[in-house]
Amino acid sequence: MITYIINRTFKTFPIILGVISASFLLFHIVPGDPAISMVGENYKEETLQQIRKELNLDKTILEQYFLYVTKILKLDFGQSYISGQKIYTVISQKIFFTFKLAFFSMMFAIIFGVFFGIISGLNYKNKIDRLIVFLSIVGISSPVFSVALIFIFIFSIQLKVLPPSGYQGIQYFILPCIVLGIRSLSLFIRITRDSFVEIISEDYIRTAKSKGLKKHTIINKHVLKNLLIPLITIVGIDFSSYLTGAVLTESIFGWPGIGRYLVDSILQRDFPAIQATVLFMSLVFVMINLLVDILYCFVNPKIREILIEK
Amino acid sequence: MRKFLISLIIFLGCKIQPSNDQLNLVLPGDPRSLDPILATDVRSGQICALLYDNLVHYGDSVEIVPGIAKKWNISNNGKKYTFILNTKVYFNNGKKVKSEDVIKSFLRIIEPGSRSPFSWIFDNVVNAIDYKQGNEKNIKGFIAPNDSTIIINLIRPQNSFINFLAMPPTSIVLVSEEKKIIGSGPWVLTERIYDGHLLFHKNENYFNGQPLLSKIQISIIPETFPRIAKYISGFLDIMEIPKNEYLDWKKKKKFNEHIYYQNELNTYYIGLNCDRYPFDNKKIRQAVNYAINKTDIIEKILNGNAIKSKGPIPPKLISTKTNHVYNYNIEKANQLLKEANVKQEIEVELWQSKSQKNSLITEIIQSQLEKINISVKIVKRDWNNFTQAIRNGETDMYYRSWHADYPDAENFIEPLFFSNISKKRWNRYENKNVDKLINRIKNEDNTIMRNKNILEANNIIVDDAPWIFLWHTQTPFIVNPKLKDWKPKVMYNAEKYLKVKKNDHLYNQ
Repeated sequence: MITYIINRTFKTFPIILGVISASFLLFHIVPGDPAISMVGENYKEETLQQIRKELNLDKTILEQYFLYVTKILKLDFGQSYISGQKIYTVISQKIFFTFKLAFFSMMFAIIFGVFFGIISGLNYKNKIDRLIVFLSIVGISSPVFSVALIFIFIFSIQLKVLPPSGYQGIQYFILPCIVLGIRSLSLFIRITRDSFVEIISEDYIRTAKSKGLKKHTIINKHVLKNLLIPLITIVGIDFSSYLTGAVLTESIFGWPGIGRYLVDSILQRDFPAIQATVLFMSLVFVMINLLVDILYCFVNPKIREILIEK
Repeated sequence: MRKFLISLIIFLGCKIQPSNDQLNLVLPGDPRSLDPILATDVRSGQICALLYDNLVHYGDSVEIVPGIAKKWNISNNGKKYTFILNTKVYFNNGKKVKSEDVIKSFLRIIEPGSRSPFSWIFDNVVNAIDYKQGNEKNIKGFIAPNDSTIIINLIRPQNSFINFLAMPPTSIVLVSEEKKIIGSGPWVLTERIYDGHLLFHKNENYFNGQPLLSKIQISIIPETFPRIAKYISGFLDIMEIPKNEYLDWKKKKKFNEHIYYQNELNTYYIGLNCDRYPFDNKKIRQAVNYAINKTDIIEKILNGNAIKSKGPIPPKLISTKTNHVYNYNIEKANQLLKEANVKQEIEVELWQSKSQKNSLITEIIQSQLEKINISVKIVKRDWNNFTQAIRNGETDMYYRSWHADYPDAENFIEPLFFSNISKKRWNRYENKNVDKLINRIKNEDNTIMRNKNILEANNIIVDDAPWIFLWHTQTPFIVNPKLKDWKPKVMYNAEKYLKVKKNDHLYNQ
């Protein structure tokens, strides 16, 4: 098992190196002089030269590449062209906000998704089930942007019960977490319901029922356990996309997160910021995939055997 | 389930209320820098005004009022400025502001290796250029005879110099050993989340009387809808009205009575490259000026929030009437093209920086010029590539604006039309008479003569038509009904929110 984890971890290194190289190339492929972006319009020639030197633009591409990799290993991502702030400081502040939003959205989605999924399964093919299925389809197909605006309109403008944007208190979490989590929530409802219906009709469940096993024991022991694999897969995919791509939610609710930072940096052509953020996002994907693979091994002994054999 | 529903109902029953002791403002993006010597954008300038003080400040309009200097005197020859400092001014760390701090703050802009793009401010100070280039270690232009007096010696008289001392880069600051910048302003920054918000607490020892409210929060919200939602739900006190809402809000009494307008000192124009065909021909340049229906664009795109330009200088800065105006006249435009011997369709490129609003404007201009047989291709680039192309003289036409660094008509003449500058940065305009007049304006200390020269230069420029002179904008703001005593000021860095307060009982009206 440990050998597998070590092997799997080592396999991520070439991917990370590839991402570092790609983000380095990105900086050099795009047209325009990065130093000019940094000095602004009304620049002095000597400042321009000074910045070129600082960015190592006077060196060969290969030298620049090695300097870049060395810097990244030291967690030095350079400075933003626009604000002059250290990108490491900015990103580390933003990760915190993005993580908070992603975590609570996922919690909301898991708790309510599984809960309503079971309710739906218990009421299979009756009115409640149909209503829940219908709402989950609406949830999956609603664009984040419109859901966010509708929610702000109802809860902030009309009812005045929740603040429209911000992040300084528990009430600020509610709208963005619902908006961001609504898609995963709908998926969880569907998966829980389907698994529930499938498992409940298995022979061993019928046996368990006839033995007098209570409903909640069946749900806890059999249904939820079998749910874990699809749940981990979706949590893995969705959580990494929350950590990297919650741009719309972050922009609408004024969250100072990493997705919004990337989009702002792209719009302002702030290359060091783009490079660092892209690198960070790729690392998140790689790490979460690694984590999901390791979790599979713990959850399902069959998968563990197959992977270890490989 | 029942418990959950009950708590939800209770929760929904509790209305949230914003604080009455905090002013809530908004910006669409983070300020570039809070170091005043690097504050090149308006947002940074606005925030510097809260944190720092200058020797002098701007008042409600374009007038200069005392700041850290309680009074000042300009010698008869206009070359010596003596400032007497207010002895009750303290930095936020408790240290008294002395004349040596003023000099140190000024030297940060021009010391060798400084990255400040504002070093031109002190080019007229005695031996400042030598100091900047590292040839001199001491500067003779700044003298501090005692702790509360500062003398600035200029090489030649400069009418606009006093304005420079009210700009964000000339803020008086103290740089601590940890490189922290400390100011003496009415507000102290206590919390900052990048792209999130900036929170300020009032400086209770502010020399000009402490602010009436205790906090200011500036949220960074790029999207329009959440800003509107924040305003409507009472979480925003002052907001620039989004373009799409303006006409609707103006019609509704509930909103209309809380709208205020800021007349800005700016000019929007289309630069015409005077160095190459077709705009090397004055008649063609004049023709395109006649062919643009500005009134139409102002009404349709700008919601009427602009006034037509008669020349480069905003009307607030030029009192006398100019003698040449380009009113929309297609016949005249065609006649000028005929006089210029234009027989074929002219093909030109119109450059703009990428933005939806700019595209709307350039597309109308494209269609209007089509009427006089000028075919316009619109080229959109990001800001850096756009400005670089202008610098390199690659653009036939470009849509841009110029905003006053300081409130002086000269700021709309020299930096834009002086041939040395125009050839390096702008549209390659050159007129020796304008250059001569600019030199005279720079050296003239008699206000009447100076204004006469400015007007003369303005008239020549209007006649030469190196630009299509478009408009000067005004920005509509809406304020929270319970906010009292706020009106937009002309200069962006004049607002310190000292006298603004909120009225409790008006909330939720």
